[in-house]
Amino acid sequence: VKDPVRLLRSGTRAADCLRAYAARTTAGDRSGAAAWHRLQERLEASAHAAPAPLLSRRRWAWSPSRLFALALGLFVLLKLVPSPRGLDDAALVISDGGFAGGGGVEGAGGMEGTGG
Amino acid sequence: MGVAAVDSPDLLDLCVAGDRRAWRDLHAAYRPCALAFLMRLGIGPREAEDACQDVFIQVFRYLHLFERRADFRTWIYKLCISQAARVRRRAALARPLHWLRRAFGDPAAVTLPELSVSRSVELCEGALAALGARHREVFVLFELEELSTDEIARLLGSPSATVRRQLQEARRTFERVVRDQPFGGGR
Repeated sequence: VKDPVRLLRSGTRAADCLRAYAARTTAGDRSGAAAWHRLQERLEASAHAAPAPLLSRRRWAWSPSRLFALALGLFVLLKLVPSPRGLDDAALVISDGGFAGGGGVEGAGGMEGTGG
Repeated sequence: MGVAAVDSPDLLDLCVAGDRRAWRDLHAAYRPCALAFLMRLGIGPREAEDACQDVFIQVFRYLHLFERRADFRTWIYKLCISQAARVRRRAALARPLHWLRRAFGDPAAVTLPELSVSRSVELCEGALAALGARHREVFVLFELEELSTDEIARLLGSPSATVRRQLQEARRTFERVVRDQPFGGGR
């Protein structure tokens, strides 16, 4: 399949617009030298930035703030989130009727007496 | 409208070997085309300079991995397309902040109209802005960078038929926008 003729060569209004736009966006080599120097500076800076030694990376990984955050996270996980085992235990206690508060509920029967 | 052909294979070999002058020649040969392409993809002139630098940093880092099955210029276009997408994503993230700055009257954030822009360039920019990102890429690669649809298909990793359809749609939109706008108006 052949490609269509390019708009630029069509002599239409769209072609005029495209031509003007192409001329405007064609970058000259006016600022090329400056761009090259900026690029070189960036490349050299990144080349000189050697990777941190193992010891300092370890120190960063095990910093007090990180350990504190880890401990806090563990605490939240263990204390505030109910574990499935804990839920089972609670269900067992309720089915046994062994709650001290159960008596209180029975006491509600006494309330009936007040009505009479 | 494309870049002047440079005898790339030798130049690329020298660059991979670490020849500083070769790198400079490569940069001088391909920077204008990369910069123009980035601007044609809708990146503003100021951002385009930075984006172009990022593209060349990638070229410097990964040139030894470039397999040379495709044209070097096509590889540059590919890097430019990825970089332009990154710039667009960053701009989308910064847009709410920009709006806030404008709302609270930061004069630096107000963009002043460029007086030297001719009406036809303005029209063209408007018509290109009406295209979606992929349609714009296909349109610019075909109409301004003068790549064939098969080359574009390889570059974008799409079937040639899809590229041709996208090109047709993009051309239709472009011509409609240009036709519907008054030529004499504007600044």
